[in-house]
Amino acid sequence: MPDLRVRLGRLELKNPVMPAAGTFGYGEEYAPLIDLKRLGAIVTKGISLKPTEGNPPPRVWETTGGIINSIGLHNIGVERFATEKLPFLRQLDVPIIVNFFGATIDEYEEAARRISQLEGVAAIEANLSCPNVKSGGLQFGISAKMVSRITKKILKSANCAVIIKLSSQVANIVEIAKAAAGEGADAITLINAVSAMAIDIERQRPVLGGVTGGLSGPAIKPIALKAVWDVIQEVDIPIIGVGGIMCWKDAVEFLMAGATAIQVGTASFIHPPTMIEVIEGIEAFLQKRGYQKVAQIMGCVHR
Amino acid sequence: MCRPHYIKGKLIERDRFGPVHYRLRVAVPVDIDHINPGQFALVGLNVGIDILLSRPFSIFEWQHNDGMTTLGFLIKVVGKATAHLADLPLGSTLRILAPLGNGFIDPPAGKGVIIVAGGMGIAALFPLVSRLKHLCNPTRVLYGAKSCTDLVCRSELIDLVGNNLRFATEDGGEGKRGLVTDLLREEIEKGEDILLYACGPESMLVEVASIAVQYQRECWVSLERRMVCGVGACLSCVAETKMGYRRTCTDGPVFNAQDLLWRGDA
Repeated sequence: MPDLRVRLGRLELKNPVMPAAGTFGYGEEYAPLIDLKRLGAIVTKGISLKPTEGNPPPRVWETTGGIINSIGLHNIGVERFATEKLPFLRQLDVPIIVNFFGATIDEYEEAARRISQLEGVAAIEANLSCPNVKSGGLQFGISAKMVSRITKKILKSANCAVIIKLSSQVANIVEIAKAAAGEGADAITLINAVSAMAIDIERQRPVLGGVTGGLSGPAIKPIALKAVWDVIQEVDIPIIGVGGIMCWKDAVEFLMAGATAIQVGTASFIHPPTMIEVIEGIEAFLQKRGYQKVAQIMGCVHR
Repeated sequence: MCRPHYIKGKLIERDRFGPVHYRLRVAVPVDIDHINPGQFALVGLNVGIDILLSRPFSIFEWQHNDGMTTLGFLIKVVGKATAHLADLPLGSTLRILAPLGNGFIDPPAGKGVIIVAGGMGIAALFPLVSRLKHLCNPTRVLYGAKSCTDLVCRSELIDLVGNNLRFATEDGGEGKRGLVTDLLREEIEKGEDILLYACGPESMLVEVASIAVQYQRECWVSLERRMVCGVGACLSCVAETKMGYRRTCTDGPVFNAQDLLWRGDA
């Protein structure tokens, strides 16, 4: 059997496949449907210090090749997460990556400190890229200077691996990724949902309650892949690729572009066992091609 | 409550129930031994990128034995996914995630019940009517639609409740001309101590809920929302309640009407 283990800075995973934040709830929701223990890691919904209500409905719209969501980071907050959701996740013995966000740099710092201290949290993923809320991170993710500053603060207050999740909708993604890497982030996640909207022509109004939202699904895969391709050539920390991965072949594309791990989001909504099939598909592909390790195909298109 | 199964089903039967209305029967190779009236399924269509998401449909009827379950869905062609289902060849594979949601709770023994159905709301309520007959709760069904061709399962309802069935149509083609909520006012003014269950368009539910408050009757409504995961993970389908946003897929789709805030967010 090929070796699927990958390393994301201080974090070691048994395989490179995990859910994308916000698409897998707090993990427990999918427990009746897939074997969570097989996942490389579990990434939670974005958590904030205090509970967040999210955007008014309607929160989702189907479009060609994707869905536009404006959930708005609705979550139960750190305290309830720690008492109500974390105990279940902990007993799975799968690395837990807690996605988080704040409205200010201080909030990011405090959330990083609090979440990383919780027993069983292997890594935190800072959302500097949510397209759906005014103060949901994207304003911190558009300048290299700001990313550098916030990454430094998060790294200082967190006592676990730190992943920085970035948007591709910036002037220069490479500079921004370099800023996160330069401060010592363990890994970068690329990309978040892409800003989008839809209009109801009968009502002559935007469809979504939040007016605009984030496009996810197969429509954004080429965009995400290109972001990974660009960044890996200039940045020497691991990249987690995410955006429109629907099957194992999509995942292999990201690995070949240079990603060390991948996240599956929209596909789990449509077909809950997707992540398990992606793990099995990567394994079978490596075996068929005679590779011993998944690392052998990582970034192979650049060589 | 029964845990949801995610399984490939086979379309085995399709019967026309109206001009653009069909009953689909889908066989799944698992024993789903308990389904509550008002629970639903997500039905996945395998047609690629134009219909990416699975669609929620009330479980209209069900039957299980020996490791097989047949689920019935009542559908009306309103868009591309339902049009696809109306044309899908028998034997086709559908991805089924079911049963989902809470469903209706049983009324107290012997309590009188009024069912208020608007249009396709009958799909969620029909199995409840059947359940109430089994429980021997005196039940009246008020069923409204735009026109008589939108009133489906009429003979099946007569079989269940006989004369305790009244229709309202907006064009007056059948029963009372007007809205089903006009019938509800007439019925509720008789003053009996009854419990209400309703499913239908949002405007109807708002009115039913307001009548329930006015006459101080317990009222349960089943909501329809744009839904994605069906298992409570994505928070797309939330309804606004006095306790904050609640998930239609797992906290609902059936809510106590007095907990809901109606802001036209369907």
